[in-house]
Amino acid sequence: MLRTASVALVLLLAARGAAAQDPLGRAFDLERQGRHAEAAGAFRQVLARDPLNAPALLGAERVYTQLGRRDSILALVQRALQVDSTNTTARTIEVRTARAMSGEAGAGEALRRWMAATPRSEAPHRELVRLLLSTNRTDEAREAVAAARTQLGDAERLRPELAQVEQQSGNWAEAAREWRAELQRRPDLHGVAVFNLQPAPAAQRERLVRALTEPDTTSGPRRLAADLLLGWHEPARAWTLFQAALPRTGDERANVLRAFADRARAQEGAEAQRVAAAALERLAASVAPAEATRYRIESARAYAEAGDAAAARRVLRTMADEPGGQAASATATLVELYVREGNPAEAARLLERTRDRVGGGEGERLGLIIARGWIAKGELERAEQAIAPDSSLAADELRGWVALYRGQAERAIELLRSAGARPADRDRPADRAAVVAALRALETDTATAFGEAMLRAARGDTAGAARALDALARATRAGRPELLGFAARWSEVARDSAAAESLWSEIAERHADAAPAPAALLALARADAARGHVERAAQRLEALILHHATSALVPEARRELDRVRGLIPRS
Amino acid sequence: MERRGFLESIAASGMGGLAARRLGGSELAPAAQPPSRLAVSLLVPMDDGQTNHLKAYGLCYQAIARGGRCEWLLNYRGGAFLLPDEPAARRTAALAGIQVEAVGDAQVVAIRGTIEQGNMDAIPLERAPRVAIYSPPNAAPWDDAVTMALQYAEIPFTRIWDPEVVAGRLRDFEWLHLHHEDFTGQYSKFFITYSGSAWLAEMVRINQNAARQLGMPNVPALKKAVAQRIREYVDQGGFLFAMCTATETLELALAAHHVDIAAAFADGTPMQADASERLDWTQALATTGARLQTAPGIPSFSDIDGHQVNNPGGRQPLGAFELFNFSAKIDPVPAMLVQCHRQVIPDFYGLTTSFMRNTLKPANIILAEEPGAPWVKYIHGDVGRGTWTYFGGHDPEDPQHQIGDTPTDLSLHPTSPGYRLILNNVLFPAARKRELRT
Repeated sequence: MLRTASVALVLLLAARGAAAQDPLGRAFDLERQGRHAEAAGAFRQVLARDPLNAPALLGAERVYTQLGRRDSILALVQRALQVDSTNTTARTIEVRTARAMSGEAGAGEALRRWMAATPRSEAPHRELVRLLLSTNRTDEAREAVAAARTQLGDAERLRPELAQVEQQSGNWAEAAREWRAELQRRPDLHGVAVFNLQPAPAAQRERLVRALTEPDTTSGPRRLAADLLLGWHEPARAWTLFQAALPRTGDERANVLRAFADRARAQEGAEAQRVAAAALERLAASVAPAEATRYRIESARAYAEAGDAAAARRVLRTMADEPGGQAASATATLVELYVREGNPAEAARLLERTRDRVGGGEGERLGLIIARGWIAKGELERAEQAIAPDSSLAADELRGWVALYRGQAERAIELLRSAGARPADRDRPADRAAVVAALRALETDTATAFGEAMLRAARGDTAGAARALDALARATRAGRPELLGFAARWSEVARDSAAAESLWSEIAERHADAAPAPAALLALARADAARGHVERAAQRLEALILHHATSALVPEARRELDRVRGLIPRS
Repeated sequence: MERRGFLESIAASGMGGLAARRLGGSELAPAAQPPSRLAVSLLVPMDDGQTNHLKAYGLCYQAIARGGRCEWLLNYRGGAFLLPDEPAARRTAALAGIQVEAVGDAQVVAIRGTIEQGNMDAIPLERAPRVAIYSPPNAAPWDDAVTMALQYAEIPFTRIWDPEVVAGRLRDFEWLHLHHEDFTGQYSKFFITYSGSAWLAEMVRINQNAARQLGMPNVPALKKAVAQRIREYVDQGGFLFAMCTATETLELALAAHHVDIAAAFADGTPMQADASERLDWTQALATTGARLQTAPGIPSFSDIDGHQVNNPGGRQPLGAFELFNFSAKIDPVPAMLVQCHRQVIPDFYGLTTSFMRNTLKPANIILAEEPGAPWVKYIHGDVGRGTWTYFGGHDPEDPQHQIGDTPTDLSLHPTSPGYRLILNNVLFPAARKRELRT
């Protein structure tokens, strides 16, 4: 009983919903469901009350076309034109329908009627040009534009259409001249012009740019040329043009700068990033202070990505001492920049001065960055001082590395092991587990020399570290394969692939059961695969998987094996 | 062997064989096998204990190809496989990271006892099917989920295309796969969205060349002829598996054998105005009464697809689909096709993502559906002496797949339930007893 009542209620609500639905909405629903005949009736119902309703006229055109009853559209169009003989929607539908039913002759008749009804309108002429261009009749389209201008008594009309005629004829510079003239009249068509001219072939671009930047040209076409150059990956040239064509003040200046900076920022390469940074810096000077801070930080990041740390620092320096949340971001970016430039002392001073504003978690993160900066300068004590208040696992791990560099094997093992499952740093090729394994295998006096060699690597002298580790390995028996493994890794980082391969080969051949053997097999397999020696690469990987089944490298070896066999994409 | 005979043979070999072996094995001592020595069999679990479900299918296929007697244990540990314990199988499993368990006679007997008491069955797999993938000559291996799955699982296959199909080469294969081919000959209706793209121009060029070489007036006519050959292949006992656009457009091409349903950009003439009314659904495999999408600029073909991914007015959000449970002993074929370690699987788009219930023929078997939705995801049926299976969507691990996306790397998805469903289809014809008669 209850269920029956519920069903009845649902039906009642549905019926009310349908009745209350807007007739045009109902027509669209019916069309979407493919009930074209019913949709046609619904569209007619709308048009009975409002013969000029454009969505209903277009909907009727679609469904009657589906039903194969184009003649029914004409009746609706005629009624609309009785109400308003200049209605563009009705006239356009009339042309399309006449063309479908009676070919070009029919379309021509409809266009003539339209021109007669609206002798001052360019709409029928535009439709005629589009029809001609759709069948690649560019000469006739050009003539149609000329005729329209004569009839309308205005030589400025139909420039976008003429631009398309020129473009379709391969005359890109001519097309650009038409757009140049049109933009002086209608600056809102800037985006349309970019869209149309961007596909210009490389051989035509120079002439096209010249056409847009002739001496008497106003700023709009010059910005168009700048946008096109940016799209063709010539950011520096684009920026030079763009700067000279900037509006002096106001929202438009901010808008065009923002759009230009966004496009440049999205491109790869130092030049594009430098241009984006300059545009963002200029934008920051054109907007309100709160917004300006955000753009300045973004500008500094773009400068940093372009490799111009000095410019990035210049932008950020004034902001780091300002109050407010954005200043904390500026401080962080500036600290990273100082460290990257090899100036951890300045970074530490800045952090000390602004620590309250930066906040605890971010302060610790920056402290770690500064500590790494000190390590890179060989100042181990100051590195420890930079993380003194930090009791996190990350800080303990860093203390472990410092202990390693000092040759304090036991302390290093303890601290590096306590880092547990913390993800390894991406920029540190020597992983914790390998270091711990090596320290355990080495004798105490060798650990000091090992630490010194590893510090050389941390300071950027990876080639020197590789040589030192190689020499140390030759001078000792305990832990030799582990030392050779580190020497190979640092040789890879130093891009000395021949030395690395030789060291990995020695491990694979003479120390096949040692801890670094799986890493050696993987590295050698990758080198073989890179040379196209697929079979040999596969053999090495199979040996790794089958003989070192418990190695942490087995999953990676399986993936590599699939890759060399072509079973998965080479991504 | 025709399909009905095939089903009977499956039913007979399954339970009958089990009963005999169970009686014989009950007196064996349950001795454990030392792992280093070969046991009687290798059990390949396919539940959550498996570490690489996809490669497990390849392991099984290779064991069958070596002539080993393998069994598919339907509904037992996620649809496990039982293989002869051979050094080659152990090596393949170790290299690929496939979990296997060495089992002795006593354990096999215990497994068979479990199978007999539940909704499970053991299906012998005796012949490695010869697999064909219908794909144009310029297609990259990563264009198609089935090619990727077969390649990753190391199951061999042959690529064929229009010239081979028209020349009657389908008779050389037991299993045929179609993916995102547009059998209406309209290049997936990408003409407006991807106009000017080099890959589209290449697609048009090779299709037009093929039509010319095969004496067809245009590409839509060629594709209709190919669709007809595929239908004949199924009718004569072939196994067809199709995904994505191939499902829907094959149906439309078959139903449109005497109607122009292609837009002017494809064959120079517009679609017939009353094309939807004139479709002959008796020729289609799975669908009936669908209506065509008549707008040439909308990359959608008809109302068969429930999700209409590229149709702004009709696009539906993705949900999840649920596999049906079938009786392994009574309905072994659908039971094989739905073996999986997941019952509910996140949906994924394709140019054809799903199949509207109101367009399906009543005889179809629905293998997976989205509960409460007007569409289903995975369907199967018989035509003549063969079978067809349709799985909507493009790539189970790339739900929003777009042209130009990074290809899916299956080594990152070794336990993918969606890809398992594809591989079920490859092994399903291995259960056949005799040669395919064509």
